Amino acid sequence: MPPKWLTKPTFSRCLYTGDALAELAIERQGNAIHLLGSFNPRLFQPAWLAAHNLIRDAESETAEIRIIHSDIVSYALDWVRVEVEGEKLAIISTANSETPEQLRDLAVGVLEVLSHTPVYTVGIQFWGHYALESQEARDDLGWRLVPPDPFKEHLAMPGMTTLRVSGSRSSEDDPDGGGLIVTVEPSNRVNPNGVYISVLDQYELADQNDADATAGPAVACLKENWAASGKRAKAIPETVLAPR
Amino acid sequence: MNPPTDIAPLPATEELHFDHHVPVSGVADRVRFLEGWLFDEEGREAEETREPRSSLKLHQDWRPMQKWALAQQLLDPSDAGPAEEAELGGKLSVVLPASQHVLMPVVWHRPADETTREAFTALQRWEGVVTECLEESFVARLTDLTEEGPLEEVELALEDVAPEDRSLVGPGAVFYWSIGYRDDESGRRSRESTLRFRRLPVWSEAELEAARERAREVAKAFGGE
Repeated sequence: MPPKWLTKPTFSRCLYTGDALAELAIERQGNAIHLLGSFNPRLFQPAWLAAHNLIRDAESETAEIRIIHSDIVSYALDWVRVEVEGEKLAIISTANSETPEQLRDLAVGVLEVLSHTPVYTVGIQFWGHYALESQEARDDLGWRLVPPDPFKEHLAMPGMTTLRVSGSRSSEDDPDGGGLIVTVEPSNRVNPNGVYISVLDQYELADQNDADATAGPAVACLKENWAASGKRAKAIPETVLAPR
Repeated sequence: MNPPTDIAPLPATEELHFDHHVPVSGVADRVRFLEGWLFDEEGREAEETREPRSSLKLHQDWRPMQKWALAQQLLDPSDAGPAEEAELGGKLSVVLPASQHVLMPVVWHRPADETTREAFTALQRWEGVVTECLEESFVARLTDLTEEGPLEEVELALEDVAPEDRSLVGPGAVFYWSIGYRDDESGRRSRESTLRFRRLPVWSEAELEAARERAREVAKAFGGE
């Protein structure tokens, strides 16, 4: 039999799901740290990281440079991708990253060097590509998360393509502003029947007009919230994917 | 989504020739037609180099992306024309605009992607703190990062540490120990154990002087010089 998707009348990005999730498995995972502040892209070259002992010299020499420009810098080492625009710094894992803590340490190291740089927001993101056991399992998940009924009048076979849900963290563990953004999509890495779930834990540390903002609170935020963010990032997909 | 990099240049227009008449009267028939071309009876994707199962004379080196672009065009319900009404045969022209060469399929079974890309999949991870340095090894206390468990103690060989990281090994140094699979570009999988030491920023002279000053203040508070 050909794959079922081919017998569908369209190539919609439906989430095909089902009820047996016993064999739920995470196939690929990654993480990223997003910082909003005021950064000088030109500074963030691999040699600068090596000069401050944040990466190995050899890694600096073999970095895969995508662009180095006064407005934007983007390059990748074996285990990390660094992207800097004026207001954004993103430290993103690669398929070769060994452990998420590598990225946190790099972010902390950068912010400790740039201690006077204003940082307003910290985002700690974890994602995973989960393999569901069948197309039916993915159908059920998609229709459970986004019931098709409201769309049936106008759409034939409505299917969920992207679901983004935001909310605040529970008040007990949330002295900081910000919140959580959870994204659920069909996986583009795990086929068939893969589901991608991203959990972005965002912390608002200072107002963008705050002239006294520094990198210190961002360092503290990363150190103090890392474990809790990791636990949330593990618990949320388990809940979302749990059979009902 | 990154555009695929393995797509060979394709002329803007390719013509597909039928050896004999194939009835294609609607989307369902078009689907069946594609099934015969792209998949064998068991649903496996036809190998690139194998003779296609249908009677179509197709380019044998077409990549899945190009096939997908064609499939999308053939299955486009807005493409209603004579082909919907009458039996198709003889010759069918399919135009593949250059822009479709970089389109990514939203649903496309491409397991080869997962096995040909280099990746590390951690099976077990620990965070370690060096407690003692020996001549050719070091002793460390390990915290399991994969799941909660008791602290463990381990002795690891210095030669397992990357040469550039050896200067970082000392009492109190933090490192990550990961054991997992490494998939290489050719799809080979090997088990790998990696040690990576936490790297801290270099202290500036001003920071060192500030630390010395603080140390002097503390020493003075305790009655020292």
